[in-house]
Amino acid sequence: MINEFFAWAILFLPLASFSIIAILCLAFRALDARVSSYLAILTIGATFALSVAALAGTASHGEFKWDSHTWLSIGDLEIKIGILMDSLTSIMLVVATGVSLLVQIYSLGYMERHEYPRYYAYMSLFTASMVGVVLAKSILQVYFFWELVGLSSYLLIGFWYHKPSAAAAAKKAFLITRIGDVGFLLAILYLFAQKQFYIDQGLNPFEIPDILGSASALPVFAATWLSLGIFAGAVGKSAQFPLHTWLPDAMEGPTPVSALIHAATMVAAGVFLIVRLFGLIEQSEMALAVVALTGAFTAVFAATMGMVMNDIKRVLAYSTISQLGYMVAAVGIGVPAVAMFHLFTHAFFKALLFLGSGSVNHATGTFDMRYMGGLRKHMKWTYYTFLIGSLSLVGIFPLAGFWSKDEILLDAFRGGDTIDQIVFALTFTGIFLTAFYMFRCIHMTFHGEFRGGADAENGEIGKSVHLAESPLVMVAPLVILAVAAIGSGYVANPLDKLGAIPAHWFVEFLGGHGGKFSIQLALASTLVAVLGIGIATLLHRNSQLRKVGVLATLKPLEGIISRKYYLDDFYEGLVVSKIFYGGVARFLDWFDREIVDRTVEIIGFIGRNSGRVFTPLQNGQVQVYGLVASLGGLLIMVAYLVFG
Amino acid sequence: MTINDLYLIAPEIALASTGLIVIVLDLVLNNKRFLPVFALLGVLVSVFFTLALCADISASSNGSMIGLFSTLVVDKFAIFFKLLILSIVALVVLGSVDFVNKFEDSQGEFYGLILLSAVGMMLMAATKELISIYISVELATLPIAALAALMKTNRSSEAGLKFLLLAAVSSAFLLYGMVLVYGFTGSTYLDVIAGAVTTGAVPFGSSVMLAGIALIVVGFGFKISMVPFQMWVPDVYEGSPTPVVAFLSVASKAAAFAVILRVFYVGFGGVNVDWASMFAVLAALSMTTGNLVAMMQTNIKRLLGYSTIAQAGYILVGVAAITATTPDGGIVGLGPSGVLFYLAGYAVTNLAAFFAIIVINNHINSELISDFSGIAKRAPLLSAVIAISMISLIGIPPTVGFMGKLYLFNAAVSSGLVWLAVVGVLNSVISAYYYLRVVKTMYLGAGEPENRITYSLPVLVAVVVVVIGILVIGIVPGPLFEFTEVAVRSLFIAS
Repeated sequence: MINEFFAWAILFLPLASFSIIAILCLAFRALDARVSSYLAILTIGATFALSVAALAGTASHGEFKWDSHTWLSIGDLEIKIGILMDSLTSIMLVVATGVSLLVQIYSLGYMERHEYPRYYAYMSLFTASMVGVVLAKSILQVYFFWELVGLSSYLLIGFWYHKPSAAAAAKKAFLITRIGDVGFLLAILYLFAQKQFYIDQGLNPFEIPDILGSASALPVFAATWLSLGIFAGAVGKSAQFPLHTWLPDAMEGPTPVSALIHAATMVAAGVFLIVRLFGLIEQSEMALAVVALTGAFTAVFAATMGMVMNDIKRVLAYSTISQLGYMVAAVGIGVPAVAMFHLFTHAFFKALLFLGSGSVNHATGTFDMRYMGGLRKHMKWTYYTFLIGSLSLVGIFPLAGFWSKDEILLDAFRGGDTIDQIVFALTFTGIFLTAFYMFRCIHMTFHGEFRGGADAENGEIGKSVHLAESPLVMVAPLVILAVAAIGSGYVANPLDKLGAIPAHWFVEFLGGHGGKFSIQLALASTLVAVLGIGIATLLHRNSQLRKVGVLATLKPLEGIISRKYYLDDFYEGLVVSKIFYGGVARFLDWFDREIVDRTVEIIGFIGRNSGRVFTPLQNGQVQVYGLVASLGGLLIMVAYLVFG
Repeated sequence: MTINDLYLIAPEIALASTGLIVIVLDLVLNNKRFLPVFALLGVLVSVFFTLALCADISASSNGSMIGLFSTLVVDKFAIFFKLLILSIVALVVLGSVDFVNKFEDSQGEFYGLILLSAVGMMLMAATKELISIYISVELATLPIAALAALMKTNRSSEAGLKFLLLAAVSSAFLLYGMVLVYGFTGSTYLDVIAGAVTTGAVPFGSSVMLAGIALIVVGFGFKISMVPFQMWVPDVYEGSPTPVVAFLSVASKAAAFAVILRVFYVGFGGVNVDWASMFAVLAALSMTTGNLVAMMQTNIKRLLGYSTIAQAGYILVGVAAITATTPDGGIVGLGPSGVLFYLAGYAVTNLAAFFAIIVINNHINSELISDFSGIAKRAPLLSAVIAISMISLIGIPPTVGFMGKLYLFNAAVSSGLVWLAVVGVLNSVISAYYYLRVVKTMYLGAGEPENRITYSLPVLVAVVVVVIGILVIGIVPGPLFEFTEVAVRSLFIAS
């Protein structure tokens, strides 16, 4: 059980941990580096315990109704802050803080000791911001912490800022997610513009329960624009097409950070947001269709890119984008509870896979799978846990991923209209692609012969490779997560009553309807998955096969895909450097510097004569400044005479 | 002039006499370290008188006091700006101690001129008559021209002369505009002008005042660095001593916006010229031009110059988001209070950036952004300060820059200027690009941690105060919001 005080503590504990570490360890170096890690892990542990208590509370008593507190008033509008503690909040809290706890324990082994204070300070801030998004009752509060999530991810992705690629990746993540945030912020401003609609009903336009409660009375037009704006924010944070490009680059951060970003925090925030505001989005057919198609397309699109990557973390990154696509598509076809179910199971197996890749990196010093191979012999625990994670991700019966993915497929299959059919076709294809890229990854990493690791990559001998299992602090989280990756699906959402757990508990707890199990669909999806695994294995065993027949004709396609469909080139090469930098900004800069001199030549008379007086002043720029200003003044008057 | 009049301008008198005393002390004192202490004492006395006046007007019946032949008005609006400008002066004095200590001579002039300029700015916020406004503007401007040239290098002298010339041009516009307004309304008093407009006493209707209003806009456009009257900004910023730029960028802008709000809302409120949409267009132009050109800059001071142009654009959004009073004295719309809030937030944010840059420039003797590479290792605290202020300039929580933009954009939306809010939001995304580039450069690259950048205690105090300001106002904006609303309400009641 939990009261409001303890609910606030869930937010303020990690925040306090951040402040204490930042002030004592970083600014004044007053404490030993190890203290910062103990402090961060202790507070996140307490936060996790409180989150579990919150879940127990909402599971037995339903939503807690706590009043909001007035933060400030703007004109006739009160902006409030408060905690919205319902089933969705409590589940998301448990996932976010639980994964964060495991990741922080694992980091004890992964990070270097002198990096502890800064690392654990950022980790605490990151967790606090995510918790802030989840707890928020007002949409402004969501936005506030939403931006803080972006900010702390910037700090963490760029953690090794001495690497230019890390600094660039951090900036890219920040800027691209902000493009989505424009939509979110505009949606908030739109709510402000509509405030009379809410005030007339005695509601507050920023309070989430009020927005959802009155959503059906909102004109469809308004609901559509609001939903699309909010969805734009989710597209940025959850790395959906076309704003997905930041996530693979975000691999530049420390691997535990990737695990946290991918499993439970940043990218989950986008899905969480559209699930939270589903009551609004479902008012608009068009918004739902956009959400569903974006998700389903991203699921397949990202999976194809996962098939050709050589960096193990990039494979996992595209896999995350693809799986987020499944969740977004589930929201789009009207089953947000199922989306949350997939988010829940995905958090475990994706965190597991990332931590596994970190363990591999610990041994080989590289992330490039071309220099791995044969690790199964040296790292038993890592291998088997990684295999479990992969099977769960692929959706093999009866692992966790199977149950959640199956629910999405089933709902799309039963939906019936065109959108549902498209979503079904795409997500079903995705299963094959997922199986293929995950097992290509496993074969390249763990099977065959070892190919030298970081030493071979850098042309050195015996420097950064030490083939052995990782220390206990790293293996223990792997095992815990592996257990969850096996069991969390069925235990949380069983087909039939399982001990104290009622049938379809998870989905029905979140207000969804437990779908009936379809043995045909389960068989079909398993068959497709096995097909994918088989082809990957065949290609691995016999590399000659790649040069034959159909596969040879696919070769050019592989080139296109490994260039990520040229989207990065399009964004950075064309939009940013050519159009923006090369075009608009350069023109304005040129205008500001050069037009001045040219104007002087044109109005040579004035320039020559008064220029002599002001020789030290760069030949008459000042007059031109004055001239431009006068023209500006004149223009204002003319504009009024013409339009006014 | 009565004793009461003297009391009403006591804050200004205190500050002006301190300025003169500091200049004289510079001649007789050998230890120049006492100069900033005296300057701060003067500010403190001035703050004391301002607070005393604030208590008096709170007790008075109509919330304001009039003096000096009705040209001077002390209301909550004026008090707000006086306190803001005094805080800026105090912080600038603290933050530039190290910089000024390096001067061979004219240390006293530096502090003295800053104080005298501040006197002009404080009067700008508290006058309601056109000629007095003009004189206060000149009083605020001329010392800055001298300050800009204080370094006696070529670049510095050029900046000073350029500033002086363009200030003269802008004054000419301002005066012409005032003359035209006087010609049509027969008065230089803002309340009488407003009365003439509403009673229809203006021959041919108030729309003929267009030319006068446009010229006044041009005149003030220079002061707030609004496009297309911004061209002097980058040159003067680049050439002037950095502490002067810090002062100019926040104090001068605040005072000019105070005058704009008073002149337009009190004097021209009823004029049949749609000046709100004019300000909206100028706001959009300033934001966009400033941000786009800033992307190309390699010199940190030029970059901040273009950034200030863009920030002026954001603030203009608040001027354009027109506000009206309801019959019962309530206020509809948030534009002006948003302007006040944003100005205060912009002051702490920009000062934070400038204080850190002053120290760093002093050590590396370069203003090129590329030379800031690796500076984070040599000055971790200052780099964090610059990073926080850049985040605030972009407008990201939990900083005051976010609250200010939210406030202003909300004001725009509720006045029906949705397009302007969209332009503003898009601009804040564009601006992230170049602000973050500075942060990235500082944290990238190899620096020598043992080659620490050092600074004195006063500078540390100034830096810490402004950073706390950025974060505290960003997280608990309530009290400042309330103060700005009270201030703006007094502006309307005084009319």
